[in-house]
Amino acid sequence: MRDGLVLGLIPETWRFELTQFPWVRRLLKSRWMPLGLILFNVFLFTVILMAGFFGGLTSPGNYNFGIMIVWILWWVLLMTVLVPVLSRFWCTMCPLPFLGEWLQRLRLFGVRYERGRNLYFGLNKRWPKSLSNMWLMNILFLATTFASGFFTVRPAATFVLLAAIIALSVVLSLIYRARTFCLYVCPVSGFQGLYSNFALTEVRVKDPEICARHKTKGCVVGNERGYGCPWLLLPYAFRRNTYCGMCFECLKTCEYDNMAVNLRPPGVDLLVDEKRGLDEAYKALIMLGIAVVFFVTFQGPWGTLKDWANAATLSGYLAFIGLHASWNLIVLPAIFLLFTWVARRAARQAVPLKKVYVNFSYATVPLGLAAWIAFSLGIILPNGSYLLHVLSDPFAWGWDLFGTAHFPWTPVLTGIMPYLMILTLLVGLLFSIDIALKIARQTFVEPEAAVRDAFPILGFLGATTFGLMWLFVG
Amino acid sequence: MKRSLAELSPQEVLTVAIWIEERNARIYENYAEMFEWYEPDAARAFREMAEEEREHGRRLAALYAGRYGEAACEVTDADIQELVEVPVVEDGEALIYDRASRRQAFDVGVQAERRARAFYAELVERTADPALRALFDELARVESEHEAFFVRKLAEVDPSENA
Repeated sequence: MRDGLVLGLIPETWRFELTQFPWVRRLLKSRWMPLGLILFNVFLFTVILMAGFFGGLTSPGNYNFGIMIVWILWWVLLMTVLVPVLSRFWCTMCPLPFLGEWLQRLRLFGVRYERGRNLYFGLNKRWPKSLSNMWLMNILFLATTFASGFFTVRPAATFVLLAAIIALSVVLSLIYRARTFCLYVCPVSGFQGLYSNFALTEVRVKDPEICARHKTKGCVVGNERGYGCPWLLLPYAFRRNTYCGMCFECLKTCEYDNMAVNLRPPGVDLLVDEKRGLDEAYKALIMLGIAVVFFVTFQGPWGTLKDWANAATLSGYLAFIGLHASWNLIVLPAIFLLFTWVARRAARQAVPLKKVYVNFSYATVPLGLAAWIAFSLGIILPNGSYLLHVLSDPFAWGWDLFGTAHFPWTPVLTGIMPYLMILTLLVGLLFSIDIALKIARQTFVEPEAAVRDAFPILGFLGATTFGLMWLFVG
Repeated sequence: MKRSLAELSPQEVLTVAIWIEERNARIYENYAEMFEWYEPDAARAFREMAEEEREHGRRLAALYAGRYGEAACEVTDADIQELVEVPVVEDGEALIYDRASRRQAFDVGVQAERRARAFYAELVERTADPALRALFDELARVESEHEAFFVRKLAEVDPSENA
């Protein structure tokens, strides 16, 4: 695979500017965007919270609006469409930090701007430096998955999770500056950020020279048209999707219309050799590890494991947590360490092992994302028909709003589902190999030996893929 | 129509150099504004650099007055093709990782001065006109002094501060 081309086909620098169309630019520069989407989701999540609250601990998950919309529809859309195609577009319209941001700005629609800067309500403190990374999100997401067995069968668990997230985001918004909750705490934010580096969409500056000459940098400090980047990026300079929440404030504040939304080839941000860190490496491995655990537990043939995850017995549940945490925090990272150690030995170059480990971890992102897409297929194809039922009877009160309350359970394409999953994994593997070879050239001094140096990593990727394929069809 | 710096007269080049210092002072002041809310220490460093750039501008203005008196020259830095000595905070995620510091701020200054010195030095090599060549050489020397000043400021920063 040649440098400069994705899969040897598409130039990495290829871009198609979506904001070249006047109606797209007008839409994204309007203050109704993303407010309109957020308000719609505030309504939707209010219904979800009510369904969770009224559903309690006993309502069957398949017939609960909250469970079906969050864990079937939202999760599947997030993993199959939103993140791989639209980057962090979920963050654009996420209703969870809505209350906190509203309180910070004390405006629902307009912009508070005086004496050259935006005004915010609250203490606006700086988040601790030691926590300014993905570690907390790694731990919180992993901890959330400990309760995954409850979320899909007990509506109250979904209620508690969402209510806790909203409450925490409000409290943190009043204490800390900007989108601190989204940047450093939200359990969903971390993997979206990392996986969005693979996405087909980006917000980027068009002509850096215009920004270099521009003195006031409204994209950072804000102006009367919009807020300075709530995600604390310097919009004229950032090069990865990781922390861009796609709020489009920079499109509104830029005086020169120099910000663009582009389509691009997949995976190019994974090759940006800056800001890589062990926190993100662990995020990549944890996501891959959790996908494996979820397959084994919820879609595999081992009923005992599912019973453990569902807390049928306390000892079983503790065993699930112990195995799940050990696998993700110790075993899988250690296995990957072994492969990177071998790669470093093979390269016979004095590159720090940590650098080799961190760099190559980004090559697991396409495969990890593919594993999650495959897992999502295993959710939506057998269970998607339940959505029709809960749309008509969201609170299980016997309603039939759209005449679909009695729609029977109808699995779709389950006969070819394993093959779709395998195909998805193979596509992910292909991209992972492409990225691994390019990262080998970045990491080691002898670019011509990249295939040799990357060989152990390719072995890890291949073994993981075949392990997952065995789980699908085995 | 923008012109290359090498196409200007010595008087115009000196005028542009004065404009560049003033522009940079304003850019540093705006960086100070940008970082004030996030990183007050970095903002202080940017303010110091803005003041230094103004001082550089005053020195060049004195040089201009010595050579051309009060003769007006209409050209500005916006009229030239090249982007000379623009200080840019290139770390787009600096605030997220809480990595913006005085050290990083002064490094922005060092890089800008270094680029300017290299640019003028290259023009010395490429320019045939002796008067212009001498001026570019002088500007390269001046930028070298500026670079040394910012390097000294950088060295004064506590080494334990993040890079």
